[in-house]
Amino acid sequence: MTLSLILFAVLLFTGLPLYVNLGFVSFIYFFMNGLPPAVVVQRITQASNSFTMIAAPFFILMGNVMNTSGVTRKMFNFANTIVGTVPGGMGHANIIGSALFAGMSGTAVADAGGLGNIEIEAMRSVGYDADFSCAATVASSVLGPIIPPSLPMVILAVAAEASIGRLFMAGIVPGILMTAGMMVVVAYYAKKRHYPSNPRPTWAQVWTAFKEAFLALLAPVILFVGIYRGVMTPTEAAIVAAFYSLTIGLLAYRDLKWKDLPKIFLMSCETTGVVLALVMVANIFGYVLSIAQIPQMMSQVLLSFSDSKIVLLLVVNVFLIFVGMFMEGTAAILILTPILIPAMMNAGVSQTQACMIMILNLMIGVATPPVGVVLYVVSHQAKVSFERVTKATIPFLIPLFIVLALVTFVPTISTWLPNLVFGVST
Amino acid sequence: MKKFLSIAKTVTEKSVDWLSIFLFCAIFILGLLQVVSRWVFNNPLTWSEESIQLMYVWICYLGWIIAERKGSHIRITFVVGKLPKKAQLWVNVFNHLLTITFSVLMVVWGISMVQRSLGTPVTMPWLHYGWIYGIAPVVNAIIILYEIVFLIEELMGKRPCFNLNDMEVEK
Repeated sequence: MTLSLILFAVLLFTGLPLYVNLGFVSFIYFFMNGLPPAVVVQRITQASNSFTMIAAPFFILMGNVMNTSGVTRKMFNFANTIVGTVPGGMGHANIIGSALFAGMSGTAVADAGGLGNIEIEAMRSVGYDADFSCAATVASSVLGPIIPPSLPMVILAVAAEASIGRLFMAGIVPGILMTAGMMVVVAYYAKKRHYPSNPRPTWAQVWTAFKEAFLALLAPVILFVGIYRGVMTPTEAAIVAAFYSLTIGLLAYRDLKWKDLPKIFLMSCETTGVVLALVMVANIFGYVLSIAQIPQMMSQVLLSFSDSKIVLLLVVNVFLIFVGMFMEGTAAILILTPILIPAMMNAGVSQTQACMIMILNLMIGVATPPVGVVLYVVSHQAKVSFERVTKATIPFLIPLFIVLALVTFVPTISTWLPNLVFGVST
Repeated sequence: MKKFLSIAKTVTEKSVDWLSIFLFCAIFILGLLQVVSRWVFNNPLTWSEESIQLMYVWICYLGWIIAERKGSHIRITFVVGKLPKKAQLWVNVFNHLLTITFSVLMVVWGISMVQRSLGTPVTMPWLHYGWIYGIAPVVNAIIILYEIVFLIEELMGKRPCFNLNDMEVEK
């Protein structure tokens, strides 16, 4: 196993596609231990043969549809009308708009790539610094995968055999706290740099903005009611919500054209391929780790630092922040879930809380250098250097890390809502 | 020869793209039917969930090809991106060879899986597990072809180096 792990670590940095790395190393392990290699193909294939995982392409499709059909602009306008009148109003609208959009998209990149463009353009046009506009966009896009629906949570739920519904619910309170925290940062800079506020909108304007955004705002409602009333499985809810967003895009808003559909579906297939290649191959890699008893060893190593749960959680957090800085979130979730979630649960952390600690850490990672995907997306789109965006984002990371600390050490924050809705569980 | 290759490339691309789109639409429609039949007609479909899953396996594997073609598979490039261009070239050649090796293993053992599962039926009597595993060797064979082309292009200096601004993006 040692050889396989060393090989994996070396190949990690050669720029080899990660799924090839995981699959190749698993084959090597099977050959060296005389295990039947057909099992590798079997487990890789069977990992995608799961009804739960089918939620993934539909959350991806929904985000793509919303971004293509101009819903994002309506969402931002709505947020801007509501909170735009306070100093730095458009900065607040950026955060609130992202939080609303997070309710219909499952990834940080969908948020930064679609809505982000609109937000940055709007903020710069009324005199905000480019750096600040980018930073608010980067930081608020972290909400995408934390406020449900969330693609990383679906993946984590499958990998950790946790309930998707519980994880979705667990994300809401931390998501709201993060939103509030980032708005404090905006307020601080708005005061310091005298950022403008919008003129007070008339009631007619508020009504128009609300009316325009209303149909789109119903999408997350359908999703939640479907899942939480138990009428639909999360996968079916994702399918219905995607259908709803297509319908409003094509028939109500009419910004989406029928001829755009093949492109949108193909884009969603590509993203599904990227994510699922990893999910499928990580399944066999997780299997290899478990037959080599790596999770148990890791648990022992972690517990050997100290018996204290607090110390263990600190160590896990530092480790995850470190990993999040260098590795893409989905990949890190898939590789580390079989190791870290059982270790945390052994120390008496509930599964829901352990999963939230993991998600928060790794999703903050999209906004930290050197491998912060959202930093790259935003700096590329806004044509502001990576260094400048990174530097401007630092103040926004403070509230994110405060919420992370709260979620880590105050279990109620992540477990209260799921327990309220689904009843107490371990 | 060149013309033949370019036609073959276009045909493969178009078939993969349209098959993916078709299957995606199919699971979309079946999924909706499943909800409607249970909800509205109170008469749940017995076969839809399994069919959706089977088609989904195909979509996932076809997605491997689309991502391969567009170079969008997740990889970590910030270390290799710092190497001199010449070194990057050899690392990339190594990566292509390794990807080919992995895909060959997937083809060989995928075919073995198909042979083993030919007799294992799923709920629908006209379908068996061979169909599910069958897509694995096909997809990986196509990936091998792409990788060979990429390898040749790499050696001819026609492929770009890693650039930190083109970082692979989490979708």
